Amino acid sequence: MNYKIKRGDQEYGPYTLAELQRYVASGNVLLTDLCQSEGMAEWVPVQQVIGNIPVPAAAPAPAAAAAFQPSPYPLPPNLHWGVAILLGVITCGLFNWVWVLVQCAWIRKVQPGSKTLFIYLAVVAVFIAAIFVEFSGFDDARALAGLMRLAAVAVWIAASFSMRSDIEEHYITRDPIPGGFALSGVMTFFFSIYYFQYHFTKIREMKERQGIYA
Amino acid sequence: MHWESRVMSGRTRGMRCAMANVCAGVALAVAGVLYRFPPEQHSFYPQCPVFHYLHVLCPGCGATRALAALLHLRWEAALQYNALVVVLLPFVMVYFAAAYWRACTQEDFAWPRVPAFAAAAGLAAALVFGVVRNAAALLG
Repeated sequence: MNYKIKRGDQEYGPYTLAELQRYVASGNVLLTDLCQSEGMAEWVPVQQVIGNIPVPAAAPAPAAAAAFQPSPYPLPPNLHWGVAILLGVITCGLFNWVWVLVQCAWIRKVQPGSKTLFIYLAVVAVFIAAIFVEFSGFDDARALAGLMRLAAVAVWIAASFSMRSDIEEHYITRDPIPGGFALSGVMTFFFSIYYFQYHFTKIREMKERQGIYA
Repeated sequence: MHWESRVMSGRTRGMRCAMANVCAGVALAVAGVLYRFPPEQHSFYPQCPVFHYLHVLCPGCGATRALAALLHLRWEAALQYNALVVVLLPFVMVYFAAAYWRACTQEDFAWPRVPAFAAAAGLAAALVFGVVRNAAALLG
């Protein structure tokens, strides 16, 4: 029988009973988390399911492996940062618009209150509006379109820093990275999504190693 | 096994598949616009900001015209506009086709993995291409 786990708004699984026991033993699943199997109509605390079944003691792990505890949060988008740059270059930047939305979608999953997606959508809207203004044909249309693009760049930078703040908050408070986590303001300003993707690539690799050793 | 949020129902996969279909539709629409309105004859396409402000040919300069030329099966013109795009396009198409397939068929979606050496080789090729085309423009 398989079980789904619910913590807050997030659902995980399904997992077998053995996996569930292992996650309880390792502390990834709490006895107070909610749990539901295929035959159950209601969510019940994990404690009720585990009940009297003995939970195997977590195997003593080496210090290095213990530092990499599995995370209940989804991993960040897994495109290699080099490929992201390459696709951005050969699509004249179009790919960046798509990828920033992918990154924002992930941020919304791990930080449901994040406003970054809406700020980026505002940037997209202003850029598209600038294209229409430029070809509208009225007086000073080019100047106005230029100003709109400038405003969009400013909002883009604001969105980048908003995303930086979301990522830092996530990896400092919710899903702490061993050794701490910080993003450079200068790199965020100049490279924004590529810089974030570079860190996502590194974090994913670390988490995947952790998945193997957990 | 990774401790990672899994897809809980077919509805979630269905939504992801619908999203993939929307993306594929947008890509086809862009290709249609490029085919119908070639950049050589229409000026509404955005200019490369690198070339516009710095007068330097970036590795992506000419990509839009190269893609439009490819859609008209003008291979030589496409290579002249941007050889890098012509060479990389098959890999990019295979990559996104694989991503589309995964989005529509797999419960646990992950973007196809690109080996680090392939990413590094692609970046190096783009860098060399950028240097060579600017050197050729200066000397020519």
